[in-house]
Amino acid sequence: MALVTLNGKEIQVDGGRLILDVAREAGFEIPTFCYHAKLSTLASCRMCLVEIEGMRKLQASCATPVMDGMKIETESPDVVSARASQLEFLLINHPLDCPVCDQAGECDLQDLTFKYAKPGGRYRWKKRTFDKRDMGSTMTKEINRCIACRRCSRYCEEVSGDFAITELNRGNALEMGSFYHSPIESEFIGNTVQLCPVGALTSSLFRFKSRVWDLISTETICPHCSVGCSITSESKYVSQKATHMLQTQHLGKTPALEKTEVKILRNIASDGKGVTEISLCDRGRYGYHYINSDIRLKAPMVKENGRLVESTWEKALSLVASKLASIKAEKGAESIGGITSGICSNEDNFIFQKFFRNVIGTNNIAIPGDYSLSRSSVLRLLAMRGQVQWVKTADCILILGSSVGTDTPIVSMHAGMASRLRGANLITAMAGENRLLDTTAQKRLNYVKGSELTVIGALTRAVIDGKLYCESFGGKRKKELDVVEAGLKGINLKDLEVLAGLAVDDIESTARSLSEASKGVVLFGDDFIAGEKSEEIVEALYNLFSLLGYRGEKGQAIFSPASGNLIGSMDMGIAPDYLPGYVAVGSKEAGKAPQEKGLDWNAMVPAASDGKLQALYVMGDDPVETASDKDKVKNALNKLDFIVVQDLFMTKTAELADVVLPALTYAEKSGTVTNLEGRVQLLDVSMKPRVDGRKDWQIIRDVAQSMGAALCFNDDLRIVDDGEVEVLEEISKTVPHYAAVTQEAIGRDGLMSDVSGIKQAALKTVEIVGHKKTADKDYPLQVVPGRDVFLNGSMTWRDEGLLELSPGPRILVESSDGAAHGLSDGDVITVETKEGTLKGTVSLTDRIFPGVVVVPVNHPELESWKLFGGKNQETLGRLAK
Amino acid sequence: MQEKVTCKNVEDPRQYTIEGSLKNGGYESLKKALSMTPDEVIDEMKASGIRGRGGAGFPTGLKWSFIPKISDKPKYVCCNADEGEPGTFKDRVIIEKDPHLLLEGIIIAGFAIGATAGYIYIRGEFFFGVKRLEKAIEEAYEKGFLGKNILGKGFDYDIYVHRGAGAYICGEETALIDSIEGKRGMPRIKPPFPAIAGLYNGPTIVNNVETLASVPFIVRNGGAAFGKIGPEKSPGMKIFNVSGHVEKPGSYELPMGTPLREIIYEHAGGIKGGKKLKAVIPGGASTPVLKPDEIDVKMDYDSVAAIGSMMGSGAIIVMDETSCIVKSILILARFFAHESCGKCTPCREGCTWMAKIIDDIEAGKGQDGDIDLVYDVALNIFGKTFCPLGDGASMMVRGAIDKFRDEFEHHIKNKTCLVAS
Repeated sequence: MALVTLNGKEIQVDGGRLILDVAREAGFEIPTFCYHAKLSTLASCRMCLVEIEGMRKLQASCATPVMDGMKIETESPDVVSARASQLEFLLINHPLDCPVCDQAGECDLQDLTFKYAKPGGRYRWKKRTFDKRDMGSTMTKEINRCIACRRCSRYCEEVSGDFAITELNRGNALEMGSFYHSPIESEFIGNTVQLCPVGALTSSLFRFKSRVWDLISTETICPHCSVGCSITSESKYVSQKATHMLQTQHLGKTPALEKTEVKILRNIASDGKGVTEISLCDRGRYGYHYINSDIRLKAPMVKENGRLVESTWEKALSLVASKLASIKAEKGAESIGGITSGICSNEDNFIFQKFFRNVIGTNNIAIPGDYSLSRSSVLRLLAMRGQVQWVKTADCILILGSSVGTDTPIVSMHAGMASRLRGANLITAMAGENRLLDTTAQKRLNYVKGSELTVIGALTRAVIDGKLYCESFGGKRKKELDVVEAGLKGINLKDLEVLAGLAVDDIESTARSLSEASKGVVLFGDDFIAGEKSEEIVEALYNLFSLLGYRGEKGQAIFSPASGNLIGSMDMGIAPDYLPGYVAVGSKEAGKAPQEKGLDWNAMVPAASDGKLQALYVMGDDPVETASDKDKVKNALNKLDFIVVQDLFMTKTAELADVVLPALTYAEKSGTVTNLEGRVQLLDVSMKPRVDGRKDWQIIRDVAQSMGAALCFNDDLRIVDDGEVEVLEEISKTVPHYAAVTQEAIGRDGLMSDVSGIKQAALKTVEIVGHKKTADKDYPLQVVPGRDVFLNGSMTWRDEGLLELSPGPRILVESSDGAAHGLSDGDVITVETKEGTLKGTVSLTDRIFPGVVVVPVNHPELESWKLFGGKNQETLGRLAK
Repeated sequence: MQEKVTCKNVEDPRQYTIEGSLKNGGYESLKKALSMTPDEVIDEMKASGIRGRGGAGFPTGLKWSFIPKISDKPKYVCCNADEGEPGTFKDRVIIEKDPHLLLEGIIIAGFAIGATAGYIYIRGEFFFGVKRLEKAIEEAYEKGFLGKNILGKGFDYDIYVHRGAGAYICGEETALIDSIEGKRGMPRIKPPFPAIAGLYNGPTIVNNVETLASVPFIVRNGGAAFGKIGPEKSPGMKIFNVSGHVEKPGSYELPMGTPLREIIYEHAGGIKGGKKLKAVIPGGASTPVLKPDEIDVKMDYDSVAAIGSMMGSGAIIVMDETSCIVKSILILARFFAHESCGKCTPCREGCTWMAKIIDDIEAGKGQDGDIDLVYDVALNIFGKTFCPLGDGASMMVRGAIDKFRDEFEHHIKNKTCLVAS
């Protein structure tokens, strides 16, 4: 403890804390520009100077720790004069163009000038100006406004690690910019706009759209991946009468809304809320344009004479109700299937499954995707819900698969930060694109796509051979170890180099690092478990993590899928073989739910083809577009008697539907979502609906009501217009690990759902046969499906902001391979595999291993599925110009 | 006459070679040092009373003693050879004429603090000096004065030459360290001081060339022999660089405390062409100018400070009656504006502003109040900057206005120069 005197007031504080923090806590204001709690200390703006008795010069309070007996003045004449002179210095070269500056109203320079500057100007010389520079598609640099606080360059060095913005030139000519003034390529650059205390870095997508004081802010959750960052969505009534309206709002009168429309104009990071610390990825920050899009479904549509025409809710709902009722009556409940999306809220999904189980009477519920997991595997995933916070402080990080980087950039960024700033041991096993490669030292495990199971088998082998497992497996759990080892007979580390491309040393040292870590973490995403072996991979991962003790004590595993609420939809029982809370279908806890397991998506497609399935209810998914074999899915769906689609857009699947119902975006609805940690978070209504749509769960409820069934809530007939609270209440009663969940308990930081009560089955033997690398001299390259970091599905494909950000449908070719083929960036090439060919624009990169070609499969313009023979799995190929 | 410390053998044309150096007793001090304990070497340094020759005058022995004895990171010696202040050319003489003396000092310093390597951060324009140093290092390795197990005493040590890229700020010790690390050279926050976390976060001493080149003398003759030269509180021999309007501009190694008048009129041969002395900048560009009636000052840290200026690096710039103070100060103001690293607000913005105001005054475009304005800007810089660069610019400008305000006023009033008219 230290006793310090602050402006004559004696206070006891912890020694070593910064004067700035101590003074602010004690209620004394100290202005700052360069200081940011989450960035390194720079102490360069000199706004926070204070006077300390016995020290010759004023001291920067942001860089000076308190010491016992210190006497500090924050408002002495010297301090006041120093502040005023810093502001004078900053303003002599500033363009003073506040009237047209986006930052006006939330500008630190404005605010501090207002508060601390002396009146009058003494500068009559020419102001310093810099040339205009192209900063890429999302950023416009107004660098003449820059005050050189270097928050942006510190962010890019310390947090994103991509050095996208740095300091150019020296002294008075110091300019923040990109190396060689080249357009910026970074998925985190939007954060520098938010960090900029003045209007020097502006968002091209927000420029001149609004005065900031006209914006209405709502704290909600980003829908674009499973991290679930806390964002503040800012919307505005766009109207000629906007100002008038705002006044009437303040006066408490209801404004006339007829001629106004509301739009989301920007998203900003809610720093310090939930999992969020300064950063959003640009997909999340700029992915709001689809909400404002004019191509959204505006009203229900019904197929008449083969064409979808606008209809009314009443007509559409009664058609759906009668059609579903008649199919159920004639062909049985099993002939109806329902698919939903990992993007829908918990409420949506809960009501959806309840409708299918209680009203239709079937377990035919699924989420289409690149993998399909049974209940036992999904239960294993419950043990792989590590915390983002853990990644930040881990000392050993293994990333399995490329999609952690492309699908959940924030998690990947934290891994990079841990490695860069704290020297954490970062190991990556990425058969495709490695987005962490550019700036982060790491050990790279080169493995051949398709050998994921072998990678895990090899690591497990190395753990067992090196006795790197938890002590107990050598003793009382030896039997369990034997169970695991029984499946590894086919794994001989020495062969792997040839078979899976794995170096023995790499595998052994990785196993050792994971074992020796005091705080380890393994991250994996969709692409690592995709394919036919999903179940085995998950089970093998579970075995490996169990042996290593990565079940929370010394290490964690984190499954980080692309879909924003995939974890929540699993919790809600969107599956053919389990109910909400992972209750097995047919078990005695299942109660009145149908006893037979339903069809998963892979079974629904053939069932539709051969007539076993007659109707499909689609909530927020577009399998025709996202399927790895589009023709097969389309043909199957065409066979169906009846298709209902509720969505935001006229998707490829909706085009086939008999009834299309307009849903609402995350910004227009409330509800809860669950992130990859199992953190239940709250969506809030950022704006009134732009279309005559309804929340997904409300549509289902209304369909049920039209069928004469009561769905809400607790099976009574109470129908309320906006009943999320009631739905959530029912969820918390039904799903044991959501028992504590209420809107109040969630708050803005979210509430961790507690899955510890769900018992895991004993370890199982997973038979792993070493992957055999296939080779074909006519097809020398490995073609691997990849993902565009700025896109992740139906919403993003219709988001003009994200389409602007995306580099476009590019085929990634490794630089030396490109050179061997005489390729340069932007060339059009043809990729040929045995399954098909694809023409596209090439992008040369060092982020992949030689011999690998990455083709994004989440870019609708690129018909990449043709290359993979309907499996979205790696294949052999070659390039032709 | 007092034996010279750093320039004793610079007149010997073969001194730069290892043979020449050995003939004149080169590396004898190293042999002696390696037979002592590191602490004994540091004690001799303390006993010598030597203060840093880079300009700040911090006691060198004390600086060395700050280095922790035990460290889990390697320790380093950084030799600051980024000699870039206008008027300074003392280190260059040592580097070019007697590189082995410097190397010997760096090796002994490394032994004293337990360092694994020494880095010579040298001004990029010193092409010839770099060549000489690199050759000398090669020779020293061949003779076993560098490398593994030096002189069979079990001490391993390497020296690297790192060339700067032309930034004056890289002479500031922490900016120098950043620059060696491959970063943009800008001053770091202190604490931690380099002695605790310097180069690559290891304990580091940063010493000037002249300081390190004095080490062999101190080791060979004992700290007391050095300490008895010159004034008690700033003892030793010091190289003074005299430039400007003198008959014999050049480098003079003289005892500390030699009066400025003696340096100018006896050693440097007096004012060129018998003209009248107008002003003297006593210690490099950032030190406030002195008038002719102040040159009886003794050239040591404390005496010069007592009359409101600084001895700095000992770079004496002499101006005769034909010099325009406004123009001279403009040149220096432009220097500081150009060399400000841009990190902190007052230096980045203020130095350029001062240069613009003085430019106007000099060009006859000055307005009433401009002198007060530039003085106030200088005051607003002083004491608020991140590192001493801005302070230097501020002191230099204020010093000139304090002493030669009439010349500035003449420029504004008559739109011409007082000297030319």
